[in-house]
Amino acid sequence: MQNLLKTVGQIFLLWLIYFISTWTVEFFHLPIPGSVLGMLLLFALLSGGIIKEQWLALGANPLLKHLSFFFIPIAVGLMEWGELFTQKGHLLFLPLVISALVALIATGIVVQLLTKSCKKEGGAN
Amino acid sequence: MPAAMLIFLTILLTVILYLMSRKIFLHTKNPIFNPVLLSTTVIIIVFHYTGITFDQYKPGKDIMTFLLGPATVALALPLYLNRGVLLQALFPILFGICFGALATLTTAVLLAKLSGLDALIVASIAPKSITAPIAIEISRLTGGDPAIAVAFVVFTGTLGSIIGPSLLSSCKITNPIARGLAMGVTSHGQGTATILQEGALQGAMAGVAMAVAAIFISFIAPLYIPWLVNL
Repeated sequence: MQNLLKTVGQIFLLWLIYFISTWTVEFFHLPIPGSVLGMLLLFALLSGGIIKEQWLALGANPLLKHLSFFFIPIAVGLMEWGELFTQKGHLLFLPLVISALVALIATGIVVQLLTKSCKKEGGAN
Repeated sequence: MPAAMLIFLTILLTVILYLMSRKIFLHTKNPIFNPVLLSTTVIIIVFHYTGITFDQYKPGKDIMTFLLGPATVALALPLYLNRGVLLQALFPILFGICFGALATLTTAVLLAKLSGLDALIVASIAPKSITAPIAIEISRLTGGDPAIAVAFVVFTGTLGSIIGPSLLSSCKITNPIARGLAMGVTSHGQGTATILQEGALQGAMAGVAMAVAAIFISFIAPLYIPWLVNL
């Protein structure tokens, strides 16, 4: 029972950070999502020691564990676009597949080359 | 049927399907059986045959996604806990994430334009490698559609999880930092879950890549995506 209250309270704290961030984004017409500002704000609060990790873990863990649940109702919105996908679905295949290959190979090769050269520099010193 | 009853039943259907598909996914560990893909497909089929419209589902959808915002904010927690791995090679990691995220977004948008797809689809394909909650927000800010964006995000997450590890190996990308980052940049949460099976370092790197890529793309998206779409 005590844990349940703690969980609810911690989720409320996360909601409060989200609320403040979306309000700030709207008020100042910032061109970034409110949730991203909220993420940065929470990261800053954690880094600054203002909020302790233990104050949030109980509320954050179930939300993160079931994060993909939230995408289901949104993805159901696809039912309104059925025609579009049956008519043009085949055109989507190449852009999606090629860009995924680009992401994997580009990131992998760049990081592997850069970490190698960093280590060599380190060794020379 | 009264409206409140229908809302309750559609929420119940969504929750039950999610729990069932999650069980199947955790049991098989096959990226094809991811809960979003399975549940969404079944729900759309059920709605198709029972005649339930998306408008009737919307009140339930709003109730179910009420906590999505706070959940997205909570992504700062794993990033904070994994901040130590960033210091292993700060510049290569940050540069690699931003380079990869930009490369895949640009390739996807340009190829979609060349395929003759309309602006709504092109704008919705742009955030396809970004974690779903933030891809939804980015698509709203840049003239895309959140539902289409989620579909592309899940497709990319599934594809990357299936081909990623073997493709990286065949390209001789063996460094665990590089493998983790590549999977996080490409396939966000799904890629992170997949590469975590190779090791804790790879998993932590993928988680960091997913968060940093989402933040980086959020900042450039409002200017870069409309510019690229209208090029």
